[in-house]
Amino acid sequence: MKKKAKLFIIYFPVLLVAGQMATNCLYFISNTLYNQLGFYLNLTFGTNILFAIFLVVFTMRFKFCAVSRYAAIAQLLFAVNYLIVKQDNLYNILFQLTVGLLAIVLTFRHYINKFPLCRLSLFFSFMSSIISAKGHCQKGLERWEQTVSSTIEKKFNEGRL
Amino acid sequence: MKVGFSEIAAIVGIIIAIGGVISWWLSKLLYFRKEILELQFKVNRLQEDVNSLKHDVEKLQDE
Repeated sequence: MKKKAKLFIIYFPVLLVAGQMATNCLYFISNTLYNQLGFYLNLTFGTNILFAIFLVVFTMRFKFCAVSRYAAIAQLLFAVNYLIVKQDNLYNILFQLTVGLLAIVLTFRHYINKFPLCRLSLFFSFMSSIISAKGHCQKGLERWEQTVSSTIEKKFNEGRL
Repeated sequence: MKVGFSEIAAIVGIIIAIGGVISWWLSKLLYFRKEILELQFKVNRLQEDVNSLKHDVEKLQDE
């Protein structure tokens, strides 16, 4: 339970950004539904400027939640943007979608670099090996195994395995 | 025949779902392969230790 609570705190900014992006996607999927639920969803996932500053400082200060640093910065950008635009229009929604997508991609990148032997990271390194082997599966798999073996050796030498 | 937004959304959803299932299955296989590589590495290290110990024992026996 304590571990789950810690995980929730670590990924809380990512959840907020993902929720905000899902709300913005609803604008394009069903405009009527967005008009009905948009207010409540924005109230749930949207953030105010002070809380966004707190999230940025929190993720910068504590290393254990560094993985969601980019999501916290995105939250701050959302808040600043809303301060300038002052209304829920298409420009605002597109800005949030672009910044949110960028933040999630950067969060993924950070996560993959931080945990190189997790399932997600293994999948992406396999895909990049296949691409670098120009679609040749056998060569790609051999390259991937070499990469994973060297990572295992590095982790073992660092005493983290 | 006119293709509406809901049909396109359904097709895209099905493609994403199939892609997700394949990715999940592939990542599981890759994780198993990584576990095997990890165990192989540990076995090799242990084998090296055993060989070096054997060498030490032989040396002591000679002495």
